[in-house]
Amino acid sequence: MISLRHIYKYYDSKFQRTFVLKDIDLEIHEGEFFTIMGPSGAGKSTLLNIIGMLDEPSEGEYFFLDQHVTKLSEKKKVEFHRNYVGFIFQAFHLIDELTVYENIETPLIYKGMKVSVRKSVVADMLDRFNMVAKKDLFPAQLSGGQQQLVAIARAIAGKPKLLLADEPTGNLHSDQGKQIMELLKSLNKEGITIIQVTHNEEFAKYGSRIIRLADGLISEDSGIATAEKKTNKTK
Amino acid sequence: MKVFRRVKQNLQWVLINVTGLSIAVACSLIILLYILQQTSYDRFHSKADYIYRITLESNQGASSIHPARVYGDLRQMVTDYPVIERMVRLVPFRNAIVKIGDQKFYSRNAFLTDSSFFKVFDFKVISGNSKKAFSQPGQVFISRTLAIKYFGTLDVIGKEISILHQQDPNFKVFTIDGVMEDFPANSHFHADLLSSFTSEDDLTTWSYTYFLIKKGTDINALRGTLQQKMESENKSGNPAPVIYLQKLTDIHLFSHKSREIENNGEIRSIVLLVSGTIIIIFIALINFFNLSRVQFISRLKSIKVKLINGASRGILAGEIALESLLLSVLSISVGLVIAISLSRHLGISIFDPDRIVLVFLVVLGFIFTIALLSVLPLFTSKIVNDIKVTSRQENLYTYPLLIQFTLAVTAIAATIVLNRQMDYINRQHPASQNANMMVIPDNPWESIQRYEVFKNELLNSTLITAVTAAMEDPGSDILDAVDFEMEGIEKKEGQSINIFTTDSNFFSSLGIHPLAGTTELGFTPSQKWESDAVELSQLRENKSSDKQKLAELEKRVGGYREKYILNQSALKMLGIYNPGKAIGKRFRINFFLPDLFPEGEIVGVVPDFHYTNLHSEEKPLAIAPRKMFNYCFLISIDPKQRGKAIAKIASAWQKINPEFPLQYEFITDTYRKVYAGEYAQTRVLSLFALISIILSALGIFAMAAFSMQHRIKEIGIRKVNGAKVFEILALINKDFIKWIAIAFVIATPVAYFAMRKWLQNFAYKTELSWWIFAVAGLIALGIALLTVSWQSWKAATRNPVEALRYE
Repeated sequence: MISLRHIYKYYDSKFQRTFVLKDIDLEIHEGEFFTIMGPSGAGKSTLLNIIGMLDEPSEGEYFFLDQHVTKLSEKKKVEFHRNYVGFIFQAFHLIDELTVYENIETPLIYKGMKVSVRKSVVADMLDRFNMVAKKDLFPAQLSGGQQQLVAIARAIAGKPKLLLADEPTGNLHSDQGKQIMELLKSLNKEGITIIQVTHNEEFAKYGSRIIRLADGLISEDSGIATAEKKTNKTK
Repeated sequence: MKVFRRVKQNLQWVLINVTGLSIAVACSLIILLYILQQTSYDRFHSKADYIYRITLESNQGASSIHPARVYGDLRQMVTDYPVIERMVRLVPFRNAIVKIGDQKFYSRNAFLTDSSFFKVFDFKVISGNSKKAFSQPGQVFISRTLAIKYFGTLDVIGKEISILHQQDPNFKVFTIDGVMEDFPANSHFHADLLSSFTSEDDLTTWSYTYFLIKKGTDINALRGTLQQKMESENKSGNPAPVIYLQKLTDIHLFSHKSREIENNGEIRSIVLLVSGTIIIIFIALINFFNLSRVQFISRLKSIKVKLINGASRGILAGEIALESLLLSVLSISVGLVIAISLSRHLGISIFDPDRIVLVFLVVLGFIFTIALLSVLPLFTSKIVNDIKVTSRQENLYTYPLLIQFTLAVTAIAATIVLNRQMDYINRQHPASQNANMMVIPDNPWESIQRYEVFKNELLNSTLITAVTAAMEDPGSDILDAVDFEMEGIEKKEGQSINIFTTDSNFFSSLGIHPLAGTTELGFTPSQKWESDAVELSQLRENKSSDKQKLAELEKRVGGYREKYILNQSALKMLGIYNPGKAIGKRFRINFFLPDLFPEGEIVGVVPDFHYTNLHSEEKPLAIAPRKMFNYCFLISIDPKQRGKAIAKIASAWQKINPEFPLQYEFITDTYRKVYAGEYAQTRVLSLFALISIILSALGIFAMAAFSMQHRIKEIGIRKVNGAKVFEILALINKDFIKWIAIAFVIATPVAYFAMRKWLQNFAYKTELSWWIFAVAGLIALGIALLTVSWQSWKAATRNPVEALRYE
């Protein structure tokens, strides 16, 4: 589903080129629950941005559903982005001046969905996350966990194939965090590919595959490790 | 729904914007319509493009005169030049007294005219035959208003009306031959009463004269030909006057000759109004732009989140533009309400079918501009697509703020200059501050003959402190120039001096002191003497053989040596620099009635006392005590008993001049009326300056509020680290002061040159002192500081813990 080949990301300042990502090679398959770990500044979020088509790599090739993303037009990218990708964030990033209902509705509007269809989709989401009673509240009136639920509802309302989660539990206490992770797991089971960035070892384990980034390089890839183990076994 | 919620949340921003924008809408609409109205003058005549007014400029130099009307018989000209198809003359009855039944009133809008009147001008006629109008003597057309007011009906044909020309002793009776629709507001004259003439002599006096020229005539060539002919026929020994042909449609905005038929408009005031409006529009738009930028920054987060959720910039621009539409509609509605209520006062109709399209276009242009300005930040600012959505500190747009304050400072400086100039001018006039001097202007001939009687009657009462009279009303023009002789002066070719007659106590009554000699004239001749002198001159001219009568008159008139007073401009013209040297010199003016102004001496020299208006330079004047030409009476009354004094004057007038209504005003008002146009400009510009400073203050208020919001954390940290409130105030205010200082530097030369240009229209002008600009700058600075400090004080005195906990 996702294939990154020799991805570099760097910023040129006057005398020096600062690398954020160095030669990243990555294959992510449909249905995976993929975890990216690593210390601050390792390039996790940048990698997620590139995968989410919000940012462009300085070098390298990126294929998404067999489309060469680096060569896609801006319009096409927005199109991809609308239809296949959902985002959730550590800081939730709900629109403060919109109600729960309207927040969930936002991506559907941009997708061009009709009002009646939209209504049923949002109602579905509210129902699923037990938020029907809260639909007219504003984000500020909700707890952190609830806000993240709304954010997830918003992210998956458009039925994306890929859900990108940037430290989704970072602002939550552990019970709420667990709840969110369980939810992500069940979503993954329904067929949504999930890529999460996290610091939390425990939550990282929800993933079927974990990579660790350090200074822009992949220092460890559990997928490769298992593959190696497998080859070792067969030896 | 979401839009309304945003409006509610941002109520103070919305209010600031609606205030500014609605004022801008109202101003631009009103001014636009006003300009349309001003430029539409006289265009309703179907032949407007072929009608020209002929005027003559004579007496080059200091005593040059260029009246709006011409003297003499121009019929030959029309016969000689077939390209002049028709001629219309309008001879004013001056301040005529109209008598209908037993009602009498003054009218300045009564004219004698030619039978070609309705063939050249397209004024509407309600009843009567316009084709035959003014072809017989004794016919008169009156306006609808006059008919309704004095007859109560439009059915007035055949009824009688009497008119007394200012200089006639007797009323003339006319028969009403037709009723005209009231002249449109955008006509340069508004006749209430037009009459035919009895003899050609009636029309060979001063008349406003219009030519209808054949289509396609080269007007400059025609003028040249007429000028040549005039010069070849000139046998007066003085240079021939210069002919001007002025297009009818240019009269209202571009003509400022003396004795205009009515006060004309001014292109300058239009320029001033347009500049003022542009300033206001700019300031309002800048406010809007700044605020939309501010709002954009504060909604940056939601914009980013929306982008991540699949919105494109186009979609977001659409959303923002839609919101701006709401604001536009609100502002336009409020603006229209203001414009409509204002337009009633100005006599302009907004919903005129001819103008509605234009109004619509303005509104549309406005909506478009607003929408454009509101989406502009979306496309000009870099929004980094980033999962880490932060509303980072953005630099404010300081340049728009700079422009805004430049405009505000300019407007304030201009207002100060205008007000000072008006004040300056007003103070130049003698008795201009005297609230107790009554003016009885422009009197009829007969009442002038009874001046002495009237004066004596008034002086019987202690309520009246002085009575004097002069040839002209305060603030008008002195036009009559005559030839003169003076001992020891070699006169230059064509040199003439303007004559001004006054009662002998004129100078002392108006508080004008002589530079040399005296203004106390002692004995001056009576009105009886004057009429004898006139009779004597006439008898002599007619070579009368009545020796006995001649001798008798000579005996009565002779023996008086005239007491002339010159003003400083006259000395300057004559090249005399020491006023004392003129005293005692033999002097006489060569009037066409020689006995009326006999030879005499110069007894006094007075400064240029500015009894006339200050648009043009003071004329060189020879002043002589004579009463028969003094159309204007000036009466000083006891300030403590004004009411009684006025009643006394009214009763004296009624006793002596029972056939004429009394009209009076106070001298302060007379002068003010002369500068009505300038006063209006001053008022409008002051208003504009006020609006612009208020709008600028609102703008800076919003910017400061926003800036504080974003610096709360910074201020908190600074305070935690030991900054004092004062230091924080200084820190924040410094930024704003810097920009206002720059604005001041830019605005000063702009305002200086603009105001110098404006002042050029006055012969006497106030100084453009440096402090005017300093004051303007300080006012702007003061207002800005107050507004900013209000915000920064709130931020600086806030508990820093609160600010820091916030994050």
